[in-house]
Amino acid sequence: MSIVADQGTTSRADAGKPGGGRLPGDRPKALSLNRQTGMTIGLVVILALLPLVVGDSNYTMRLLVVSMIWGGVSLAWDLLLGYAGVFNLGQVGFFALGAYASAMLSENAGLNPWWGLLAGAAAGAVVAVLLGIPSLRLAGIYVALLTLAFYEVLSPLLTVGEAIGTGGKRGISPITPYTIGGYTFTGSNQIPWYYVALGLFVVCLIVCYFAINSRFGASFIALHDSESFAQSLGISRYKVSLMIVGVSGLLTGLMGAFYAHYTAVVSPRVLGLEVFIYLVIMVLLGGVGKFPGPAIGAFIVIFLSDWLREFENYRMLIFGALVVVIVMVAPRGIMGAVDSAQQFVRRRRASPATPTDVGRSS
Amino acid sequence: MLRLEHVTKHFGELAAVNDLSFELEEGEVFGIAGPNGAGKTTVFNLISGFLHGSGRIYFDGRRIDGLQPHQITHLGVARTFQIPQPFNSMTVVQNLRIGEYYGVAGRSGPKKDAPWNDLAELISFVGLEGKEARPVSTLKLYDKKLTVLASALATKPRLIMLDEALGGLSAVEAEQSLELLQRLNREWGLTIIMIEHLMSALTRSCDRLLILNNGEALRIGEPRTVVEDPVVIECLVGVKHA
Ligand SMILES: Nc1ncnc2c1ncn2[C@@H]1O[C@H](COP(=O)(O)OP(=O)(O)O)[C@@H](O)[C@H]1O
Ligand SMILES: [Mg+2]
Repeated sequence: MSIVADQGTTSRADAGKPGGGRLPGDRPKALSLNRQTGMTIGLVVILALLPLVVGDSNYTMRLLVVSMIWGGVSLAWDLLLGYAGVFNLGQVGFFALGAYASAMLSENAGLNPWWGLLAGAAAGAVVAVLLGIPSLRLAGIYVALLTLAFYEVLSPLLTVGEAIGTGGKRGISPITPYTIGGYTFTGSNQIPWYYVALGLFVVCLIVCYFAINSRFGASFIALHDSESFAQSLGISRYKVSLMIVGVSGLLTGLMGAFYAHYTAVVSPRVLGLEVFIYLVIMVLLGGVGKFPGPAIGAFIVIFLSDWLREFENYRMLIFGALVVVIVMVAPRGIMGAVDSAQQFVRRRRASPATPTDVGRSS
Repeated sequence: MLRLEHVTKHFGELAAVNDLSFELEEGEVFGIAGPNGAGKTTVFNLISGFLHGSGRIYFDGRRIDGLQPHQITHLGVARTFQIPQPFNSMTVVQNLRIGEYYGVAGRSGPKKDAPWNDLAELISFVGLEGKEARPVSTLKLYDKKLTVLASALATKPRLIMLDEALGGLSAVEAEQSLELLQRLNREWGLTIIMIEHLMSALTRSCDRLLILNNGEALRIGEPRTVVEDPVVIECLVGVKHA
């Protein structure tokens, strides 16, 4: 008896969830073991254990920390570019705002740097949403233009903003490091920094993973695929875009805040073209709309860039050429290439009799 | 159920829809025909909130012109598009789920119960069994049209507007689609507006027929009477020769 009653209520309460149960072709359950989940978990496990191997080399550890910072930003940006189809060009601006918010609050107002993480995240989210409110109702090109304008004015604004404590052209330096129970983080011991960075990177991975693999995620993928159809099925483009922009800004501001304290300096230089281009390459190389590809792209770009350091001025040239090559050879990045390889292997397995087929058809 | 009063939409100089008024009864099948460029699709875009013009549109006595597309869907008005553009990165079922999730979400007033209890029923009703897990991008046009229709139905509408649902289909597929639409109306009590070029399909399944020409209502009434009207014949034939 009670079982029957229970079933009755579930079907009503579950109306939003898969109505009468799951069907073939339904979105895989979150955390079901597929490549995306496997790669995400694998990445985290490797990063958690890596200090056992390279922990002695402060230099390598530094590169890894920086990779994780930009990996988080790449994922957040790709949420907009690759999944929501929101062409935001001001991502580095959110990063800088997060960095400045945390740095200014800790240096000028004496706020504990840990709280700065929240402040940075909030700054990124609020400004992203404020930019989204006027632009997201309009066509995509206006989003691109407005966010580009924001990105462009931010550097001069921060330079003239000395009165409110931005430190002008030189920025803010030094910036108070984090402390835990009396222990103060220092540059000579990268381990604490590393694990905080890993924690934040995992936050980015988790938020993006669930944003993509959820009902909410389905809505912005739908908008990206076929906007009018999505709207006709009851999705509010404006509401969804605003939410996703907020989430992306939040994660980016968070990483910016950490970056400020990690490098102990923020200046308008972070808004330079070079950083922007690096970020583009990370996402392109990893695979646009191919979570967690962009994060992997970040690691490759950071290490490659370090490796190419001796080429100095030619470095950007090499990276520029790399963009062209990626776009032409593997437009869907590393993850796209993995996709193709997998399909190739599958097809090979499915039809081992290929030679006979050829014989027959000729 | 649906009422248009003096609805007009200009694109620059062109009056794509000009002073159009008509009213729809609940349970009716209402056909719209007319030459290409007559403004048929524009009428759908105005009703479903994708375009805004002048005049007034009421659904259940409530003014809906000025609302956004998703708000109109939430009131119980669904539509399909002339060229089906489903979510290509998703499977058939995932397409339907979007309608199921978002069509009802935030709907004001008491939730209307659909004639189907879960998507499986809807899928077998439209005839997509066995294709649930197919990526839509791999489907042929007919199945894409069914997917798009079923997604619209998944929003639990009371009125559905179909823009050339039979267009581009083979004779057999068109026949199947038409039967499906008739069952939607008879068994599920759905009110239907259909834009169609195939006159025989319109006269067979519609209660009333509107002929649009240059954005204006040329004739509106009982389908057989309308299609035999010399003015209508001239309008439709004239275009074929043009
Ligand atoms: N978005 C638009 N911008 C400008 N003109 C349009 C637009 N949509 C439709 N039109 C014009 O309005 C007229 C009616 O178009 P439409 O409603 O699509 O006709 P139908 O569906 O009856 O073939 C056509 O002349 C078309 O070119
Ligand atoms: Mg049309």
